[in-house]
Amino acid sequence: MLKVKKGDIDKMGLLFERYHRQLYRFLFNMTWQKELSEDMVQNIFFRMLKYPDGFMGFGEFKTWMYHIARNAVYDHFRRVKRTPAHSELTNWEERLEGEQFTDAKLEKEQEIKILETAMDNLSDENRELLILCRFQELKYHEIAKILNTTEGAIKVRVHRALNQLKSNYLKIEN
Amino acid sequence: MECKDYREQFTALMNDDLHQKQRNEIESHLEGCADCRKEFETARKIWELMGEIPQPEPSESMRTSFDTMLTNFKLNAVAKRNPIGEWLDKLREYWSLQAQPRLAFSLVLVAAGLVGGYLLHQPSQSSLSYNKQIDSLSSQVSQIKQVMMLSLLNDPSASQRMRAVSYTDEISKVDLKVIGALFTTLNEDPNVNVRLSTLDALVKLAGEPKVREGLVRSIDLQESPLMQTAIADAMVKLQEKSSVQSLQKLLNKKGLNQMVKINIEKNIQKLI
Repeated sequence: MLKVKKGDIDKMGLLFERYHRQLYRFLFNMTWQKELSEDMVQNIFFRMLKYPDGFMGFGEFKTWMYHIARNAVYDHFRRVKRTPAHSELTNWEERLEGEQFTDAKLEKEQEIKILETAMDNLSDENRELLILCRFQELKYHEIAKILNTTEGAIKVRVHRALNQLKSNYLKIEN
Repeated sequence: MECKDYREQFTALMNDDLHQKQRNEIESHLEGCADCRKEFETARKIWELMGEIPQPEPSESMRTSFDTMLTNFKLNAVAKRNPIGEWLDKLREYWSLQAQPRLAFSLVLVAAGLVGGYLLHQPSQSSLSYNKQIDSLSSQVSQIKQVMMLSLLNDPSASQRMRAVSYTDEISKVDLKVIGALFTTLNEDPNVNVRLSTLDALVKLAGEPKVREGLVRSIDLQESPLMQTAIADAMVKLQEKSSVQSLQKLLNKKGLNQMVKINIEKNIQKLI
């Protein structure tokens, strides 16, 4: 990124190659919208090109990228009142009644759907934590840098987020 | 450590974000604590299930549109980096680097120089009228000289009359009045020296046809051998062929000086 900052714009292609999949998945898990996520990836990379001064030169490029991505996501949430893509907790049971899952494979699919709904019903902050931790496979110290807090705090918050998810899941399952 | 403390470590354990020592501690606690074991199993089930949530692949078109965006951005960046802009940037940089008062002072000096030069150059209009005055003055002076010359030609002193003849060089525009006066002197002045210098002055004015005619006519009237020789020489100098007849008439004149005769004959040869 330092090279990009010095005018070697082609190096941004390398960064795109390395990070765009990870960034896309983060955005998708946050918004559940494929096209929107793709647009956002594009916008985020454009912003990094246009305002390379935001990258201070210390710390990791990844941290900076997540900073911008989070801003983009929360901007989006502010503009569009988030409506969960998956149905609300209360509607879920009604929907399940119409569908019959017979074999194990379908049972698994059902579990995943329940989990997605449970994820969907978390607060944005908890969901984000779990996405960063589980889907993005970031270490606590990395998440702490992105969220500007300490590793210890992240550990506790992730634990609570997972507990919340667990209770959401059990509530839907039963 | 209480059970709560261990449970907080579960995610870290599942995320493989613990040191070996911490991991061993939790694992040994789980073996001994059934509640925690049950809690951990549920957490792990959820955790593993999360890993099974399908993760979408970004579409191929993303790479293409990124490349397009990058190319456009590069083009824009090159377009923005125009030479004038860079030059201005350098100038700005230079301005901020330099001791500003010093630069400002030198600029003020240059400006003062320009203004001063402009002010000094301004009297060009009055100098024009000045030139006009000089012109009119010099024409007045030449008029005065003409008058002076005409009156001096009548002066009894031969040297004064010679001075008058010499004024013809200084008179810018010789008119007929002056020429007439000069011929009168040439033909009638008692002093040979005055007549000789008048002849010189008239030869200088030979561009006028009337002057040439007058000179040819004056050949007959010259009595002095000096004048006869001088006028014959002048005719050769002016290549005045119409003077041959008058010169031959002069040859036939009685009492002509022998030297003059030889000289005139030579000159006639040159003219023919």
